[in-house]
Amino acid sequence: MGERRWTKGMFDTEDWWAFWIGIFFVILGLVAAATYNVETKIGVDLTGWIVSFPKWVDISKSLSVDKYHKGFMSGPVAAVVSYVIFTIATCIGARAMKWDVKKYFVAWTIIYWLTVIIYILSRNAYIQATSLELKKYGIEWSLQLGGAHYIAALIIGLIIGNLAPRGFREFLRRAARPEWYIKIAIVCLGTKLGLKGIEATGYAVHLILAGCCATIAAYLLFWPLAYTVSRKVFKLTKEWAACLASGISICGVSASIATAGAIRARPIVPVMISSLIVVFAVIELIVLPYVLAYAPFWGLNEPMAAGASLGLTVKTDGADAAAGAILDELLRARAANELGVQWEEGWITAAAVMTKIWIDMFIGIWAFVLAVIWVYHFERRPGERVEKMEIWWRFPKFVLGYFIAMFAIWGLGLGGIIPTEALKWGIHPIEGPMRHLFFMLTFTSIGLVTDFRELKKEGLGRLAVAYAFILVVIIIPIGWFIAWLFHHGMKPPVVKP
Amino acid sequence: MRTIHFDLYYDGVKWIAKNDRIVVSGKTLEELDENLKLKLKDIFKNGKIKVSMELDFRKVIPHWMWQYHPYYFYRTVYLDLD
Repeated sequence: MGERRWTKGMFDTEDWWAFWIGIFFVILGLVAAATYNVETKIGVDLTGWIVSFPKWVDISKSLSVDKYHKGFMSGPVAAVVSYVIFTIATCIGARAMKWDVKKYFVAWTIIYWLTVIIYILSRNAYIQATSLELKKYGIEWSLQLGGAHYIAALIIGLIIGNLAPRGFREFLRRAARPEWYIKIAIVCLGTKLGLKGIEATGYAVHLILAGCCATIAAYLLFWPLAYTVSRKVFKLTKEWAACLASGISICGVSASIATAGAIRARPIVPVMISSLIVVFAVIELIVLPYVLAYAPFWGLNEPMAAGASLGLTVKTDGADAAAGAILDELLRARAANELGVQWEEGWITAAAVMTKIWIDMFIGIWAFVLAVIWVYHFERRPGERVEKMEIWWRFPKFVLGYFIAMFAIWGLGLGGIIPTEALKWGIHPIEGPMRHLFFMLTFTSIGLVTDFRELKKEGLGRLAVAYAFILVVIIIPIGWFIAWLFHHGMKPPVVKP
Repeated sequence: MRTIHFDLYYDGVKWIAKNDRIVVSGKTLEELDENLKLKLKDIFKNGKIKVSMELDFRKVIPHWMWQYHPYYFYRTVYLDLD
Protein backbone atom coordinates (compact mmCIF):
# COMPACT_ATOMS: atom_id res chain seq x y z
CA MET A 1 0.00 0.00 0.00
CA GLY A 2 1.45 3.37 -0.93
CA GLU A 3 0.35 6.89 -1.71
CA ARG A 4 -3.32 7.10 -2.59
CA ARG A 5 -3.81 8.26 -6.16
CA TRP A 6 -6.93 9.68 -7.75
CA THR A 7 -7.11 6.47 -9.77
CA LYS A 8 -7.43 4.35 -6.67
CA GLY A 9 -10.16 1.76 -7.01
CA MET A 10 -10.53 2.33 -10.74
CA PHE A 11 -10.33 -1.37 -11.56
CA ASP A 12 -11.26 -3.09 -8.34
CA THR A 13 -14.47 -1.49 -7.03
CA GLU A 14 -18.06 -2.16 -8.03
CA ASP A 15 -18.76 1.52 -8.48
CA TRP A 16 -16.07 1.83 -11.17
CA TRP A 17 -17.06 -1.46 -12.78
CA ALA A 18 -20.64 -0.20 -13.16
CA PHE A 19 -19.08 2.71 -15.04
CA TRP A 20 -16.86 0.51 -17.24
CA ILE A 21 -19.57 -1.99 -18.14
CA GLY A 22 -22.27 0.64 -18.69
CA ILE A 23 -20.02 2.87 -20.79
CA PHE A 24 -18.73 -0.08 -22.82
CA PHE A 25 -22.23 -0.92 -23.99
CA VAL A 26 -23.10 2.73 -24.57
CA ILE A 27 -20.00 3.01 -26.79
CA LEU A 28 -21.11 -0.11 -28.67
CA GLY A 29 -24.42 1.64 -29.32
CA LEU A 30 -22.73 4.84 -30.46
CA VAL A 31 -20.39 2.96 -32.82
CA ALA A 32 -23.40 1.13 -34.26
CA ALA A 33 -25.19 4.46 -34.68
CA ALA A 34 -22.17 5.94 -36.45
CA THR A 35 -22.30 3.17 -39.06
CA TYR A 36 -26.07 3.45 -39.68
CA ASN A 37 -27.21 4.76 -43.05
CA VAL A 38 -30.61 6.48 -42.64
CA GLU A 39 -31.49 5.92 -46.31
CA THR A 40 -30.65 2.24 -46.64
CA LYS A 41 -31.55 1.58 -42.97
CA ILE A 42 -28.45 -0.57 -42.66
CA GLY A 43 -25.64 -0.38 -40.13
CA VAL A 44 -23.24 -2.61 -38.21
CA ASP A 45 -25.60 -4.06 -35.64
CA LEU A 46 -23.66 -4.19 -32.38
CA THR A 47 -26.63 -3.94 -29.99
CA GLY A 48 -29.53 -5.73 -31.68
CA TRP A 49 -28.72 -8.97 -29.82
CA ILE A 50 -30.00 -7.64 -26.49
CA VAL A 51 -33.08 -9.62 -25.47
CA SER A 52 -36.40 -7.89 -24.98
CA PHE A 53 -39.49 -9.14 -23.09
CA PRO A 54 -42.70 -7.94 -24.74
CA LYS A 55 -46.17 -8.57 -23.38
CA TRP A 56 -47.56 -11.78 -24.88
CA VAL A 57 -50.60 -13.91 -25.35
CA ASP A 58 -48.77 -16.57 -27.33
CA ILE A 59 -45.77 -17.67 -25.25
CA SER A 60 -43.73 -18.29 -28.40
CA LYS A 61 -43.68 -14.48 -28.73
CA SER A 62 -42.53 -13.81 -25.16
CA LEU A 63 -38.91 -13.20 -26.17
CA SER A 64 -37.82 -10.71 -28.80
CA VAL A 65 -35.26 -8.05 -29.64
CA ASP A 66 -35.45 -4.25 -29.61
CA LYS A 67 -38.21 -2.75 -31.78
CA TYR A 68 -35.66 -1.07 -34.07
CA HIS A 69 -33.85 -4.40 -34.69
CA LYS A 70 -36.68 -6.77 -35.53
CA GLY A 71 -35.44 -9.76 -37.49
CA PHE A 72 -31.81 -9.44 -36.36
CA MET A 73 -32.16 -12.67 -34.42
CA SER A 74 -34.92 -14.66 -32.74
CA GLY A 75 -35.93 -13.95 -29.15
CA PRO A 76 -34.67 -17.24 -27.66
CA VAL A 77 -31.32 -16.82 -29.43
CA ALA A 78 -31.12 -13.25 -28.14
CA ALA A 79 -31.77 -14.50 -24.59
CA VAL A 80 -28.82 -16.90 -24.87
CA VAL A 81 -26.54 -14.36 -26.59
CA SER A 82 -27.43 -11.76 -23.94
CA TYR A 83 -26.61 -14.27 -21.21
CA VAL A 84 -23.23 -15.05 -22.78
CA ILE A 85 -22.22 -11.43 -23.33
CA PHE A 86 -23.43 -10.11 -19.98
CA THR A 87 -21.80 -13.08 -18.25
CA ILE A 88 -18.47 -12.28 -19.87
CA ALA A 89 -18.80 -8.60 -18.95
CA THR A 90 -19.72 -9.18 -15.31
CA CYS A 91 -17.19 -12.00 -14.85
CA ILE A 92 -14.42 -9.73 -16.09
CA GLY A 93 -15.50 -7.26 -13.41
CA ALA A 94 -15.72 -10.01 -10.79
CA ARG A 95 -12.23 -11.19 -11.65
CA ALA A 96 -10.81 -7.68 -11.44
CA MET A 97 -12.46 -7.23 -8.03
CA LYS A 98 -10.83 -10.50 -6.90
CA TRP A 99 -14.08 -12.33 -6.27
CA ASP A 100 -14.29 -16.10 -6.56
CA VAL A 101 -15.23 -16.03 -10.24
CA LYS A 102 -16.32 -19.67 -10.49
CA LYS A 103 -18.78 -19.29 -7.62
CA TYR A 104 -19.92 -15.91 -8.92
CA PHE A 105 -20.50 -17.44 -12.39
CA VAL A 106 -22.69 -20.25 -11.04
CA ALA A 107 -24.70 -17.94 -8.77
CA TRP A 108 -25.06 -15.36 -11.57
CA THR A 109 -26.29 -18.06 -13.98
CA ILE A 110 -28.99 -19.15 -11.54
CA ILE A 111 -30.07 -15.55 -10.88
CA TYR A 112 -30.04 -14.59 -14.57
CA TRP A 113 -32.21 -17.49 -15.75
CA LEU A 114 -34.51 -17.29 -12.73
CA THR A 115 -35.01 -13.61 -13.58
CA VAL A 116 -35.65 -14.42 -17.24
CA ILE A 117 -38.30 -17.00 -16.35
CA ILE A 118 -40.03 -14.62 -13.92
CA TYR A 119 -39.89 -11.85 -16.55
CA ILE A 120 -41.45 -14.05 -19.23
CA LEU A 121 -44.24 -15.41 -17.07
CA SER A 122 -45.25 -12.09 -15.56
CA ARG A 123 -45.39 -10.27 -18.91
CA ASN A 124 -48.44 -12.24 -19.96
CA ALA A 125 -50.97 -9.84 -21.47
CA TYR A 126 -53.76 -11.13 -19.24
CA ILE A 127 -51.67 -9.86 -16.32
CA GLN A 128 -50.19 -6.65 -17.71
CA ALA A 129 -52.03 -5.32 -20.78
CA THR A 130 -53.63 -1.91 -20.26
CA SER A 131 -57.17 -1.15 -21.44
CA LEU A 132 -55.68 0.56 -24.52
CA GLU A 133 -53.85 -2.66 -25.42
CA LEU A 134 -56.66 -5.22 -25.12
CA LYS A 135 -57.55 -4.95 -28.81
CA LYS A 136 -53.89 -5.19 -29.84
CA TYR A 137 -53.55 -8.53 -28.02
CA GLY A 138 -56.99 -9.80 -29.00
CA ILE A 139 -58.16 -10.26 -25.41
CA GLU A 140 -61.24 -9.00 -23.64
CA TRP A 141 -59.87 -8.54 -20.14
CA SER A 142 -56.64 -8.08 -18.24
CA LEU A 143 -55.65 -7.63 -14.61
CA GLN A 144 -53.85 -4.44 -15.79
CA LEU A 145 -51.09 -4.95 -13.23
CA GLY A 146 -48.40 -2.67 -14.59
CA GLY A 147 -45.00 -3.52 -13.09
CA ALA A 148 -46.04 -7.07 -12.15
CA HIS A 149 -42.70 -8.40 -13.42
CA TYR A 150 -40.79 -6.22 -10.96
CA ILE A 151 -42.98 -7.21 -8.01
CA ALA A 152 -42.79 -10.89 -8.98
CA ALA A 153 -38.96 -10.75 -9.11
CA LEU A 154 -38.84 -9.00 -5.73
CA ILE A 155 -41.25 -11.42 -4.06
CA ILE A 156 -39.49 -14.51 -5.37
CA GLY A 157 -36.15 -13.03 -4.35
CA LEU A 158 -37.52 -12.32 -0.84
CA ILE A 159 -38.92 -15.84 -0.53
CA ILE A 160 -35.57 -17.37 -1.43
CA GLY A 161 -33.62 -14.81 0.60
CA ASN A 162 -35.64 -15.41 3.77
CA LEU A 163 -36.85 -19.01 3.57
CA ALA A 164 -34.40 -21.02 1.46
CA PRO A 165 -31.75 -23.14 3.21
CA ARG A 166 -29.04 -20.88 4.55
CA GLY A 167 -26.24 -22.38 2.44
CA PHE A 168 -28.18 -21.86 -0.77
CA ARG A 169 -29.16 -18.27 -0.08
CA GLU A 170 -25.62 -17.39 1.05
CA PHE A 171 -24.32 -18.93 -2.17
CA LEU A 172 -26.72 -16.95 -4.35
CA ARG A 173 -25.77 -13.72 -2.58
CA ARG A 174 -22.35 -13.96 -4.24
CA ALA A 175 -24.02 -12.72 -7.42
CA ALA A 176 -26.96 -10.86 -5.86
CA ARG A 177 -25.46 -7.39 -6.29
CA PRO A 178 -28.41 -4.96 -6.50
CA GLU A 179 -26.28 -1.83 -6.27
CA TRP A 180 -23.95 -2.99 -9.03
CA TYR A 181 -26.75 -3.95 -11.40
CA ILE A 182 -28.77 -0.80 -10.78
CA LYS A 183 -25.72 1.39 -11.33
CA ILE A 184 -25.14 -0.30 -14.69
CA ALA A 185 -28.83 0.27 -15.46
CA ILE A 186 -28.54 3.93 -14.43
CA VAL A 187 -25.64 4.48 -16.85
CA CYS A 188 -27.97 3.04 -19.53
CA LEU A 189 -30.69 5.43 -18.31
CA GLY A 190 -28.38 8.35 -19.06
CA THR A 191 -28.87 7.56 -22.73
CA LYS A 192 -32.63 8.10 -22.32
CA LEU A 193 -32.14 11.69 -21.23
CA GLY A 194 -29.60 11.98 -24.02
CA LEU A 195 -32.05 10.90 -26.71
CA LYS A 196 -34.92 12.94 -25.22
CA GLY A 197 -32.64 15.91 -24.80
CA ILE A 198 -32.16 16.10 -28.56
CA GLU A 199 -35.92 16.42 -29.15
CA ALA A 200 -36.83 18.38 -26.05
CA THR A 201 -33.75 19.93 -24.51
CA GLY A 202 -35.78 22.20 -22.28
CA TYR A 203 -37.66 19.32 -20.67
CA ALA A 204 -34.50 17.32 -20.01
CA VAL A 205 -32.67 20.33 -18.56
CA HIS A 206 -35.67 21.18 -16.37
CA LEU A 207 -35.67 17.66 -14.98
CA ILE A 208 -31.95 17.80 -14.24
CA LEU A 209 -32.10 21.23 -12.57
CA ALA A 210 -35.26 20.45 -10.62
CA GLY A 211 -33.52 17.39 -9.22
CA CYS A 212 -30.52 19.45 -8.19
CA CYS A 213 -32.62 22.08 -6.40
CA ALA A 214 -34.67 19.45 -4.62
CA THR A 215 -31.52 17.76 -3.41
CA ILE A 216 -29.96 20.91 -1.99
CA ALA A 217 -33.17 21.71 -0.13
CA ALA A 218 -33.34 18.18 1.20
CA TYR A 219 -29.74 18.15 2.44
CA LEU A 220 -30.24 21.46 4.27
CA LEU A 221 -33.42 20.31 6.00
CA PHE A 222 -33.18 16.55 6.42
CA TRP A 223 -29.79 16.12 8.04
CA PRO A 224 -30.03 18.75 10.81
CA LEU A 225 -33.55 17.64 11.74
CA ALA A 226 -32.66 13.94 11.71
CA TYR A 227 -29.51 14.56 13.78
CA THR A 228 -31.33 16.73 16.33
CA VAL A 229 -34.15 14.22 16.79
CA SER A 230 -31.64 11.37 17.14
CA ARG A 231 -29.75 13.23 19.87
CA LYS A 232 -32.56 14.94 21.77
CA VAL A 233 -35.45 12.47 21.47
CA PHE A 234 -33.70 9.12 21.15
CA LYS A 235 -30.56 10.05 23.16
CA LEU A 236 -28.12 8.58 20.67
CA THR A 237 -24.47 9.56 20.98
CA LYS A 238 -22.93 11.93 18.42
CA GLU A 239 -21.30 8.98 16.63
CA TRP A 240 -24.59 7.07 16.18
CA ALA A 241 -26.70 10.17 15.55
CA ALA A 242 -24.43 11.48 12.77
CA CYS A 243 -24.35 8.14 10.93
CA LEU A 244 -28.07 7.55 11.35
CA ALA A 245 -28.85 11.10 10.20
CA SER A 246 -26.76 10.61 7.07
CA GLY A 247 -28.13 7.17 6.34
CA ILE A 248 -31.75 8.20 6.64
CA SER A 249 -31.54 11.64 5.11
CA ILE A 250 -28.96 11.28 2.36
CA CYS A 251 -28.11 8.13 0.46
CA GLY A 252 -28.61 5.26 2.80
CA VAL A 253 -25.84 2.71 3.24
CA SER A 254 -23.35 4.69 1.19
CA ALA A 255 -23.91 7.79 3.33
CA SER A 256 -23.77 5.77 6.52
CA ILE A 257 -20.37 4.34 5.57
CA ALA A 258 -19.08 7.67 4.27
CA THR A 259 -20.17 9.51 7.40
CA ALA A 260 -18.83 6.84 9.75
CA GLY A 261 -15.54 7.04 7.90
CA ALA A 262 -15.53 10.81 7.94
CA ILE A 263 -16.00 10.96 11.71
CA ARG A 264 -13.76 7.92 12.29
CA ALA A 265 -16.55 5.95 13.94
CA ARG A 266 -16.16 2.35 15.03
CA PRO A 267 -17.10 0.02 12.14
CA ILE A 268 -19.99 -1.53 14.11
CA VAL A 269 -21.87 1.77 13.76
CA PRO A 270 -22.40 1.86 9.97
CA VAL A 271 -22.87 -1.92 9.87
CA MET A 272 -25.84 -1.87 12.25
CA ILE A 273 -27.38 1.24 10.73
CA SER A 274 -26.98 -0.17 7.22
CA SER A 275 -28.82 -3.35 8.22
CA LEU A 276 -31.81 -1.19 9.07
CA ILE A 277 -31.53 0.94 5.96
CA VAL A 278 -31.77 -1.95 3.50
CA VAL A 279 -34.75 -3.51 5.27
CA PHE A 280 -36.65 -0.22 5.48
CA ALA A 281 -35.76 0.57 1.85
CA VAL A 282 -37.46 -2.63 0.75
CA ILE A 283 -40.53 -1.83 2.86
CA GLU A 284 -40.67 1.62 1.23
CA LEU A 285 -40.20 0.06 -2.20
CA ILE A 286 -43.25 -2.12 -1.63
CA VAL A 287 -45.47 0.54 -0.03
CA LEU A 288 -44.62 3.97 -1.44
CA PRO A 289 -45.24 3.41 -5.18
CA TYR A 290 -48.78 2.27 -4.45
CA VAL A 291 -49.42 5.14 -2.05
CA LEU A 292 -48.13 7.67 -4.58
CA ALA A 293 -49.91 6.05 -7.51
CA TYR A 294 -53.33 6.11 -5.87
CA ALA A 295 -53.26 9.01 -3.38
CA PRO A 296 -55.58 11.76 -4.67
CA PHE A 297 -53.03 14.58 -4.53
CA TRP A 298 -50.33 12.59 -6.31
CA GLY A 299 -51.25 9.87 -8.79
CA LEU A 300 -52.20 11.18 -12.18
CA ASN A 301 -52.04 14.82 -11.01
CA GLU A 302 -48.34 14.98 -10.23
CA PRO A 303 -46.58 11.94 -11.77
CA MET A 304 -43.11 13.47 -12.11
CA ALA A 305 -43.20 15.01 -8.64
CA ALA A 306 -44.25 11.62 -7.28
CA GLY A 307 -41.27 10.01 -9.02
CA ALA A 308 -38.88 12.67 -7.75
CA SER A 309 -40.16 12.21 -4.19
CA LEU A 310 -38.97 8.60 -4.26
CA GLY A 311 -35.43 9.80 -4.89
CA LEU A 312 -35.63 11.89 -1.73
CA THR A 313 -37.28 9.27 0.49
CA VAL A 314 -36.06 5.80 -0.59
CA LYS A 315 -32.54 5.43 0.61
CA THR A 316 -30.64 2.99 -1.59
CA ASP A 317 -30.02 3.40 -5.32
CA GLY A 318 -31.40 -0.06 -6.02
CA ALA A 319 -34.62 0.37 -4.06
CA ASP A 320 -35.15 3.93 -5.31
CA ALA A 321 -34.80 3.04 -8.99
CA ALA A 322 -36.88 -0.06 -8.41
CA ALA A 323 -39.62 1.96 -6.71
CA GLY A 324 -39.47 4.48 -9.55
CA ALA A 325 -39.89 1.69 -12.08
CA ILE A 326 -42.95 0.31 -10.28
CA LEU A 327 -44.51 3.76 -9.98
CA ASP A 328 -43.76 4.35 -13.68
CA GLU A 329 -45.65 1.20 -14.64
CA LEU A 330 -48.55 1.89 -12.27
CA LEU A 331 -49.10 5.47 -13.39
CA ARG A 332 -48.72 4.73 -17.09
CA ALA A 333 -51.27 1.96 -16.76
CA ARG A 334 -53.63 4.33 -14.91
CA ALA A 335 -53.12 7.08 -17.50
CA ALA A 336 -53.88 4.63 -20.31
CA ASN A 337 -56.91 3.15 -18.58
CA GLU A 338 -58.43 6.29 -17.06
CA LEU A 339 -57.27 9.15 -19.28
CA GLY A 340 -56.80 7.33 -22.58
CA VAL A 341 -53.27 8.77 -22.72
CA GLN A 342 -50.06 6.82 -23.31
CA TRP A 343 -47.18 8.36 -21.43
CA GLU A 344 -43.67 7.50 -22.58
CA GLU A 345 -42.05 4.76 -20.53
CA GLY A 346 -39.17 5.54 -18.16
CA TRP A 347 -39.72 9.25 -17.36
CA ILE A 348 -41.17 8.79 -13.90
CA THR A 349 -38.29 6.38 -13.23
CA ALA A 350 -35.89 9.02 -14.54
CA ALA A 351 -37.33 11.59 -12.09
CA ALA A 352 -36.79 9.16 -9.19
CA VAL A 353 -33.25 8.41 -10.32
CA MET A 354 -32.32 12.04 -11.07
CA THR A 355 -32.92 13.28 -7.51
CA LYS A 356 -31.10 10.24 -6.12
CA ILE A 357 -28.12 10.86 -8.40
CA TRP A 358 -27.78 14.44 -7.16
CA ILE A 359 -28.00 13.17 -3.59
CA ASP A 360 -25.30 10.60 -4.36
CA MET A 361 -23.07 13.19 -5.97
CA PHE A 362 -23.10 15.46 -2.98
CA ILE A 363 -22.14 12.76 -0.48
CA GLY A 364 -18.47 13.33 -1.17
CA ILE A 365 -18.78 17.00 -0.29
CA TRP A 366 -20.96 16.25 2.73
CA ALA A 367 -18.54 13.62 4.05
CA PHE A 368 -15.68 16.09 3.63
CA VAL A 369 -17.58 18.79 5.53
CA LEU A 370 -18.40 16.37 8.36
CA ALA A 371 -14.79 15.17 8.49
CA VAL A 372 -13.56 18.74 8.81
CA ILE A 373 -16.06 19.51 11.58
CA TRP A 374 -15.31 16.30 13.47
CA VAL A 375 -11.53 16.18 13.10
CA TYR A 376 -10.90 19.90 13.57
CA HIS A 377 -13.63 20.80 16.06
CA PHE A 378 -15.60 18.04 17.78
CA GLU A 379 -12.78 15.52 18.36
CA ARG A 380 -9.63 17.44 17.78
CA ARG A 381 -6.65 15.20 17.11
CA PRO A 382 -3.41 17.13 16.85
CA GLY A 383 -1.67 16.58 13.55
CA GLU A 384 -4.54 14.92 11.71
CA ARG A 385 -5.47 16.43 8.35
CA VAL A 386 -8.54 15.90 6.21
CA GLU A 387 -7.58 15.53 2.58
CA LYS A 388 -9.66 17.34 -0.07
CA MET A 389 -9.24 14.27 -2.28
CA GLU A 390 -11.87 12.59 -0.06
CA ILE A 391 -14.44 14.46 -2.12
CA TRP A 392 -13.28 12.63 -5.26
CA TRP A 393 -12.65 9.27 -3.61
CA ARG A 394 -16.21 9.24 -2.24
CA PHE A 395 -17.80 10.58 -5.46
CA PRO A 396 -20.02 7.89 -7.01
CA LYS A 397 -18.25 7.01 -10.24
CA PHE A 398 -21.25 5.43 -11.94
CA VAL A 399 -22.74 8.94 -12.06
CA LEU A 400 -19.90 9.90 -14.40
CA GLY A 401 -21.13 7.17 -16.74
CA TYR A 402 -24.69 8.51 -16.55
CA PHE A 403 -23.69 12.04 -17.50
CA ILE A 404 -21.06 10.99 -20.07
CA ALA A 405 -23.70 8.85 -21.82
CA MET A 406 -26.20 11.71 -21.72
CA PHE A 407 -23.86 14.45 -22.92
CA ALA A 408 -22.22 12.27 -25.59
CA ILE A 409 -25.61 11.69 -27.19
CA TRP A 410 -26.58 15.36 -26.84
CA GLY A 411 -23.31 16.42 -28.41
CA LEU A 412 -23.48 13.95 -31.30
CA GLY A 413 -27.19 14.57 -31.93
CA LEU A 414 -27.50 18.32 -31.41
CA GLY A 415 -24.19 18.84 -33.19
CA GLY A 416 -25.51 17.01 -36.26
CA ILE A 417 -22.60 14.56 -36.16
CA ILE A 418 -24.86 11.49 -36.08
CA PRO A 419 -28.51 11.71 -37.20
CA THR A 420 -31.10 11.22 -34.46
CA GLU A 421 -32.60 8.26 -36.29
CA ALA A 422 -29.20 6.56 -36.28
CA LEU A 423 -28.69 7.30 -32.60
CA LYS A 424 -32.05 5.77 -31.75
CA TRP A 425 -31.21 2.69 -33.79
CA GLY A 426 -27.85 2.16 -32.08
CA ILE A 427 -28.70 3.28 -28.56
CA HIS A 428 -32.30 2.20 -28.01
CA PRO A 429 -31.40 -1.44 -27.18
CA ILE A 430 -29.17 -0.07 -24.38
CA GLU A 431 -31.75 2.47 -23.15
CA GLY A 432 -34.61 -0.02 -23.34
CA PRO A 433 -34.02 -3.79 -23.21
CA MET A 434 -30.63 -3.71 -21.46
CA ARG A 435 -31.81 -1.22 -18.84
CA HIS A 436 -34.98 -3.22 -18.19
CA LEU A 437 -33.05 -6.47 -17.86
CA PHE A 438 -30.64 -4.99 -15.34
CA PHE A 439 -33.57 -3.47 -13.46
CA MET A 440 -35.08 -6.94 -13.24
CA LEU A 441 -31.77 -8.39 -12.02
CA THR A 442 -31.77 -5.63 -9.38
CA PHE A 443 -35.26 -6.56 -8.17
CA THR A 444 -34.37 -10.24 -7.86
CA SER A 445 -31.13 -9.36 -6.08
CA ILE A 446 -32.79 -6.93 -3.64
CA GLY A 447 -35.12 -9.74 -2.63
CA LEU A 448 -32.24 -12.19 -2.24
CA VAL A 449 -30.12 -9.94 -0.02
CA THR A 450 -32.90 -8.58 2.22
CA ASP A 451 -33.20 -10.60 5.41
CA PHE A 452 -36.02 -9.39 7.64
CA ARG A 453 -34.47 -11.32 10.53
CA GLU A 454 -31.90 -8.50 10.77
CA LEU A 455 -34.51 -6.47 12.63
CA LYS A 456 -34.41 -8.97 15.51
CA LYS A 457 -30.71 -8.42 16.16
CA GLU A 458 -29.75 -7.21 19.60
CA GLY A 459 -29.23 -3.50 19.93
CA LEU A 460 -31.28 -2.62 16.87
CA GLY A 461 -34.52 -1.95 18.78
CA ARG A 462 -33.99 1.70 19.68
CA LEU A 463 -32.28 2.40 16.36
CA ALA A 464 -35.17 0.85 14.44
CA VAL A 465 -37.72 2.95 16.32
CA ALA A 466 -35.64 6.10 15.73
CA TYR A 467 -35.32 5.24 12.05
CA ALA A 468 -39.03 4.60 11.57
CA PHE A 469 -40.01 7.77 13.44
CA ILE A 470 -37.64 10.04 11.51
CA LEU A 471 -38.60 8.45 8.19
CA VAL A 472 -42.35 8.77 8.67
CA VAL A 473 -42.48 12.10 10.54
CA ILE A 474 -39.66 14.05 8.87
CA ILE A 475 -38.21 12.55 5.69
CA ILE A 476 -41.32 11.44 3.83
CA PRO A 477 -43.52 14.53 4.45
CA ILE A 478 -40.72 17.03 3.77
CA GLY A 479 -39.48 14.96 0.82
CA TRP A 480 -42.94 14.99 -0.72
CA PHE A 481 -43.23 18.75 -0.27
CA ILE A 482 -39.79 19.50 -1.75
CA ALA A 483 -40.41 17.18 -4.70
CA TRP A 484 -43.74 18.89 -5.38
CA LEU A 485 -42.15 22.36 -5.05
CA PHE A 486 -39.64 21.76 -7.85
CA HIS A 487 -41.53 19.33 -10.08
CA HIS A 488 -45.21 20.26 -9.88
CA GLY A 489 -46.97 20.48 -13.19
CA MET A 490 -44.46 18.26 -15.01
CA LYS A 491 -45.97 15.34 -16.89
CA PRO A 492 -44.19 12.59 -18.83
CA PRO A 493 -44.01 13.09 -22.61
CA VAL A 494 -46.81 11.42 -24.56
CA VAL A 495 -46.05 8.59 -27.00
CA LYS A 496 -46.20 9.90 -30.55
CA PRO A 497 -48.74 7.99 -32.71
CA MET B 1 9.42 14.97 4.85
CA ARG B 2 9.47 11.28 5.58
CA THR B 3 6.20 9.41 4.84
CA ILE B 4 5.25 6.11 6.44
CA HIS B 5 2.23 3.96 5.53
CA PHE B 6 0.24 1.73 7.82
CA ASP B 7 -2.68 -0.63 7.47
CA LEU B 8 -5.26 0.23 10.10
CA TYR B 9 -7.51 -2.32 11.81
CA TYR B 10 -10.17 -2.31 14.49
CA ASP B 11 -10.51 -5.57 16.43
CA GLY B 12 -13.64 -4.59 18.34
CA VAL B 13 -11.67 -3.22 21.28
CA LYS B 14 -8.70 -1.27 19.96
CA TRP B 15 -7.32 0.37 16.81
CA ILE B 16 -4.14 -1.24 15.42
CA ALA B 17 -1.70 0.36 12.98
CA LYS B 18 0.64 -2.11 11.31
CA ASN B 19 3.22 -2.25 8.57
CA ASP B 20 6.22 -4.53 7.83
CA ARG B 21 8.26 -3.18 10.73
CA ILE B 22 5.96 -1.54 13.25
CA VAL B 23 2.80 -2.51 15.14
CA VAL B 24 1.09 0.01 17.43
CA SER B 25 -2.35 0.03 19.05
CA GLY B 26 -4.62 2.25 21.12
CA LYS B 27 -8.16 2.14 22.52
CA THR B 28 -8.93 5.44 20.81
CA LEU B 29 -7.38 7.06 17.76
CA GLU B 30 -5.86 9.71 20.02
CA GLU B 31 -4.16 7.00 22.08
CA LEU B 32 -3.03 5.28 18.88
CA ASP B 33 -1.47 8.51 17.61
CA GLU B 34 0.31 9.05 20.93
CA ASN B 35 1.71 5.51 20.94
CA LEU B 36 2.73 5.86 17.32
CA LYS B 37 4.59 9.05 18.09
CA LEU B 38 6.52 7.35 20.90
CA LYS B 39 7.41 4.38 18.71
CA LEU B 40 8.55 6.54 15.80
CA LYS B 41 10.61 8.72 18.15
CA ASP B 42 12.45 5.57 19.22
CA ILE B 43 13.27 4.81 15.60
CA PHE B 44 13.84 8.21 14.02
CA LYS B 45 14.68 10.36 17.08
CA ASN B 46 13.41 13.68 15.67
CA GLY B 47 11.87 15.42 12.72
CA LYS B 48 8.41 15.64 11.22
CA ILE B 49 6.78 12.56 9.76
CA LYS B 50 3.71 12.19 7.57
CA VAL B 51 1.83 9.07 8.60
CA SER B 52 -0.68 7.65 6.19
CA MET B 53 -3.16 5.02 7.42
CA GLU B 54 -5.73 3.06 5.50
CA LEU B 55 -8.45 1.12 7.28
CA ASP B 56 -8.73 -2.26 5.58
CA PHE B 57 -12.33 -1.96 4.40
CA ARG B 58 -12.76 -5.63 3.65
CA LYS B 59 -11.70 -6.75 7.10
CA VAL B 60 -14.16 -4.57 9.03
CA ILE B 61 -17.15 -4.11 6.74
CA PRO B 62 -19.28 -7.17 5.78
CA HIS B 63 -19.15 -8.35 2.18
CA TRP B 64 -22.76 -7.36 1.43
CA MET B 65 -21.95 -3.72 2.15
CA TRP B 66 -18.92 -3.43 -0.17
CA GLN B 67 -21.11 -2.65 -3.16
CA TYR B 68 -22.41 0.55 -1.55
CA HIS B 69 -19.18 2.46 -0.98
CA PRO B 70 -15.57 2.00 -2.07
CA TYR B 71 -13.72 2.52 1.24
CA TYR B 72 -14.10 3.38 4.92
CA PHE B 73 -11.52 6.03 5.70
CA TYR B 74 -7.96 7.06 5.13
CA ARG B 75 -6.07 9.04 7.81
CA THR B 76 -3.21 11.41 7.30
CA VAL B 77 -1.45 12.49 10.49
CA TYR B 78 1.58 14.77 10.75
CA LEU B 79 3.68 13.87 13.79
CA ASP B 80 6.32 16.21 15.15
CA LEU B 81 8.87 14.07 16.95
CA ASP B 82 10.82 16.99 18.38
